[in-house]
Amino acid sequence: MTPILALRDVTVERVGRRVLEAESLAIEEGAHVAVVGPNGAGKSTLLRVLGLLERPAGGTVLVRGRPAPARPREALRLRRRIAMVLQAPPLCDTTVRANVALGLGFRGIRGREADRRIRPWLARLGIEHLAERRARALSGGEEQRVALARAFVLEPEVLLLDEPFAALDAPSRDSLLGDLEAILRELRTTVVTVTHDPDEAARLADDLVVLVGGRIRAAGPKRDLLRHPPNRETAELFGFTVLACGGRRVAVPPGGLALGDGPVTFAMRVERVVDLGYGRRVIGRVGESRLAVDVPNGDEVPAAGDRVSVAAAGAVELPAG
Amino acid sequence: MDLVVEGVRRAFALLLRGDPEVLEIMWLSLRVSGLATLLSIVLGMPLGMALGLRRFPGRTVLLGIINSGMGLPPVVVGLVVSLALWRTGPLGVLDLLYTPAAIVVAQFILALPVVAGLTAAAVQQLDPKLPLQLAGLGASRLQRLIWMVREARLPLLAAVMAGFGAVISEVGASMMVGGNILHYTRVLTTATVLEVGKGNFDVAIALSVILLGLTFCLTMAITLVQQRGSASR
Repeated sequence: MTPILALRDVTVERVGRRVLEAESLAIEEGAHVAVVGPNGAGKSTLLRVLGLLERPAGGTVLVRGRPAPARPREALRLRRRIAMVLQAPPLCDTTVRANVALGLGFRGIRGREADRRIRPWLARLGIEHLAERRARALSGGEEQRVALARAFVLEPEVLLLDEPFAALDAPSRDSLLGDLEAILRELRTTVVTVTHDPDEAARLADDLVVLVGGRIRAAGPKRDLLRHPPNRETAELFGFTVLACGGRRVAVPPGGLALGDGPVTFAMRVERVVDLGYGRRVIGRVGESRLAVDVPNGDEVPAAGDRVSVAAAGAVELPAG
Repeated sequence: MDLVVEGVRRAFALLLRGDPEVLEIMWLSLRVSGLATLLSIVLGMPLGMALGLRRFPGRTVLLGIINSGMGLPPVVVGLVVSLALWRTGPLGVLDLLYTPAAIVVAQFILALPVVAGLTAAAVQQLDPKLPLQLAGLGASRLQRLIWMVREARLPLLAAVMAGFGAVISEVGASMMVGGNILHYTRVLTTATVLEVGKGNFDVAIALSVILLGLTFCLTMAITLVQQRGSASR
């Protein structure tokens, strides 16, 4: 099947500096993809290119196998089948309802028809009671819900979400993440979410794209990528601890380390111990690699300078290179 | 003090009586300054938006010139426009000197930097992500522009008020390029200067009160429009 969006040799430059270099990327129709990477990796740039909001300096953006048109009028027609929610999205100074109706208005959908499409999404995102409220008077979590409703009502073929939870406090983030996860599970729409948070990526997507320094370092189903990380960057981004042992490198999944002996054991030199309140974090080195092991309160804790055994559960070998 | 009270009393008497000469002067002031402001909006707002939103070589210099133009002395503008429209000047063939049109031209030059400079400041205050977010929801170029103007409506209307305020109140340029000709180019400010010169302080005060009242009414009308959309809960 032809992918709904694809990039071929796409490069983007800012003041002479190359910020994105995507040799090849394909987004299949109906896929839920998360683009993960550290800050400044070019994630938002990639999203803008996919949304036809920024023309790359080089390469081609393919929409259902055909190059995206350069003429504004034709590009607009394609753009209207895509909806994008920016990071900390600016709302307009009007009511919540008018904000949600914005994109429909751009497409000439007004009045009763607009209302019919808006109502279920206001309910779905739990902002019905805010409909007549002015957008400026909302909390961060409510603002983000309005921004999402504004995109969902368009029933786009592709939905692009840039760090949908970046500006939220922990409780609003958790409640919105839960709601969004449930909505996306039912939705047939293709969704590309940009995030720096591995937990959000794992919960919102089936496929992952790992972007580091403007380059795609890994792409594929979440299952494959997180069971056997193809490289160090991918492993570290998702919270794996990467350890060198006997010329090979292994990645230990998050929570896989514990003090004591096990089938796979490393000798760690303790550098310091941090009191977390709910427990202690023992930080030390195995060879050149640094690692941290959390120990619950009550357990015996080594002192700085000690040599202790660390058991690694679920460790996988990283490919060489 | 008695003079002021007498002046205010006289102002109301002139207005209530519907003094044709005063009404004529008022109407001309309003038309000339209104038209000059309108022209400065037509040219100044797009210019200000381009300066505020786009990046091009020479932008900062142009913005600096516009901003310093906000304090342009009316007599200097009056002088330059006079020289340009002088019978032997570069635009002398238009035969515009000492006509209401000449006052419009001078006032337009005075209002333009005010409107353009404040417009640039107004749109620069918008969230820089707004155009991209509107595009991300499928806005065309025009739709994006409409919503940007809508979002900046409070400071944009302030720019209109500042532009109008600058020209309805100036006297130097109107005097120099209009000539304060009775029934033709006499406006409220030039009439006031004339009456003071003749020693008719009560009439001068009456004219000033009318000028203030006129400015207040118009600015109030714009303020009402401005604030209607901003009542936030």
